[in-house]
Amino acid sequence: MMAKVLDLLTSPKTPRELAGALGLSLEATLLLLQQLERRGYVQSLPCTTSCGACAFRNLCPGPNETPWMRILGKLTPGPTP
Amino acid sequence: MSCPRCDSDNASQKTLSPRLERWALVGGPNTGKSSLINALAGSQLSVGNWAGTTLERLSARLDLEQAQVELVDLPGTYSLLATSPEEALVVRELLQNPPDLVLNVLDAGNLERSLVLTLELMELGLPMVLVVNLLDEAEAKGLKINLEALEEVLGPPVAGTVASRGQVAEVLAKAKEARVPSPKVRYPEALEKAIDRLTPRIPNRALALLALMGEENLPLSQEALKAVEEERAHLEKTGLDPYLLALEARYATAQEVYHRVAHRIGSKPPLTEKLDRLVLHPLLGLPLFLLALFLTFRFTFTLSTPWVDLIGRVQEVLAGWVVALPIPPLARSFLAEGLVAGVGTVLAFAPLLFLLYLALAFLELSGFLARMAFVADRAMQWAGLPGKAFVPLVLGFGCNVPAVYATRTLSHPLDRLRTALAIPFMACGARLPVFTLFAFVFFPQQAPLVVLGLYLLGLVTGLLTALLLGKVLRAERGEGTMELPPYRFPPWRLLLRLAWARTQSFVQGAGGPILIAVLTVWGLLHLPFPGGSPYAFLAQALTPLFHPLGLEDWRLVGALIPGFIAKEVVVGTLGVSLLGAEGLNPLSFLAGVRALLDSLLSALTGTLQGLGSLFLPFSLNLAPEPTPLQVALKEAVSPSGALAYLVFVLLYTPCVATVAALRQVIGGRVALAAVVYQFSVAYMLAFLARQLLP
Repeated sequence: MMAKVLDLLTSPKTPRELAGALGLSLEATLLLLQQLERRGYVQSLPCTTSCGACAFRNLCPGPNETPWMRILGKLTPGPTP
Repeated sequence: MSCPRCDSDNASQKTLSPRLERWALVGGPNTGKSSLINALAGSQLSVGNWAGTTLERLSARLDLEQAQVELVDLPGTYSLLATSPEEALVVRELLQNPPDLVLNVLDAGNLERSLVLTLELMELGLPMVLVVNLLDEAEAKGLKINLEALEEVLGPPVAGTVASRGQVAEVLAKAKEARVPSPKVRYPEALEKAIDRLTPRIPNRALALLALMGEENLPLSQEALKAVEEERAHLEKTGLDPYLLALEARYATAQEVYHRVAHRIGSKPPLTEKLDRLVLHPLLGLPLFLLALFLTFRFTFTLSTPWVDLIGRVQEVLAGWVVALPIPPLARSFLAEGLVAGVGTVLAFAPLLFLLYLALAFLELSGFLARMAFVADRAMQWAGLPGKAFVPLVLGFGCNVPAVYATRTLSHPLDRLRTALAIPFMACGARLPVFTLFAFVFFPQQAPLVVLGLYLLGLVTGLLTALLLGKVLRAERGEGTMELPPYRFPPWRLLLRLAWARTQSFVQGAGGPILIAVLTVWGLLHLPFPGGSPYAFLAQALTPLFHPLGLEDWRLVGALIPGFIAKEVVVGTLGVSLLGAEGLNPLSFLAGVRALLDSLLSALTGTLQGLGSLFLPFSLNLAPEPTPLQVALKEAVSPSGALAYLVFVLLYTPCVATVAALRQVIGGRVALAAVVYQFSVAYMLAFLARQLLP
């Protein structure tokens, strides 16, 4: 599952999208993302980084719609038994 | 301690002995742990519908036939991998001071996430019972949880509850069957072998796993730490990351268990999602939030006015009876002008506070307060604070003291500091009596708007303070993840109990300072002193400082002095110093009783009229019949001076209890600097406010 998560997050995904892909509930996915974030495997991308000077950038993200992405350079998980 | 690796078949059966036992409630934030304790023990622990209601270790006593039990309410945590000081407290309590029984509280509506913590707790080697709470919310979401299957799959006894409605009977029965569960998660072989090799030095499986996952500050010897480092290095050399391996196994197991025990029984979209589309709408959210604040104040003022009048009348009647008593003039003055006119004037505002606390409790428990925090996240971004900081700020409208403590939900120290320094600018309940008194006297038609404006001014000043401090300290934007609880319709009994407890706490907490301050002021007013009284001398000496604010009456300035002790005292002191004996007339017993009955009838009819007018347009005349104090005030200051006074009272130095809380949370020196800063800001803005009116 972790390999799939990190693989999916090589491009930005919202928690909702990720939950759908993993078959986990949204709340469990959010917890997983927070646990990966605290060790620097992933980071959330506030829309300010992608919308530049858009005047409405702070109006866009609803709850659980902020995209997340993998931080490269961390260990990849080994084979799952 | 029992062996943590044993099978469930061989697990030791826990029997309750007639000694004092300690049961720890462990679960995610906002899963109803405090409500469960309250339902089990009939206690009054603080409850809410936002993550972080419990921030410290609280406990209640439960008397059973065979044992006396201390129920320990721990802060909510999603995992033993702590991310905040409060979560670290939970881990410390479980590892260093293991309880006799762990009551693991799971959220039935979010069972999969709750199971991640359950699986970790099962590795502690402690007797355990699973309490699946909020079954009603799961049902509303269209979920059916098979409790028997959950017990069969995991091992520990499982009880189903709806704690907020008192449905907790199963918990005690299941506690008798509590046993040490065998760990459910089977980790990859390499990790299991590493745990096995560590067992001689770290017999607790959960502790060994935390260490292998790289957790710090664990209660381990140097020898054990060295062994852990060797095992970690060994795993990493083979390309394995113990942190990811452990997460992988836990989430996979949680997912598997969840799918075996939870079944969807309907496909109706949850109410929460439907309401959130409206409440969290990017454009509609903010107006709805302002409307909710406005309705809160409207509800408070409209329904409290008749009861404030009634208590004011009771106070007049009591003072009238005292004045008619055949006792020495000094004693008569002490009773009528000191006790009744001083403390009584403050107590007259208890209905106002009760209704404000009732409205705030509704917002808090219904889940709307957390949405307000989300909507306010944009404003918080502007101030460089996380949206989560809005919850303590709004709580500050009730009382600054718990709000300052609530900043401990913020994990970043600079966020905590800036929010704590912004909170004293929030208009707490104690300032409300001053606002309403002045607003009704000087701006009777616009009183609710004036008071709402003051609340907003406090909020903006607090946010500006946080922003400036952020610039000075070069603080980065804080964390943005926010827990949105489901909507709940709080039971009326719970709402009334909370509002009553908070009002009671206000009255009890204010009682000491009020008695000391008001009676001291009365004494200072009546002590012989050349050219007047000591109180007048002190207040008159300070009055020139307030001339630029339009405050030239020393009695108004004097009332600010005891306000340093507690803001509640300002109105009482004004009553004593402005009215004196002139506001009191002797009354016969029968005339007094007649006046009381008339006032009671007026209060009842006034409440019914108020209920009918709650949603009517704004043109209602809410001004009550002028009291002697209101008349005296009108003669003492101009409307522009009154506005400056209101702004000054809103913003100046917080009460002693808030300063004490600030000292605990951010340190003594910073708290002292905050006192000086607030006084300067209050003076400056009050001066500007005076210029607004002719």
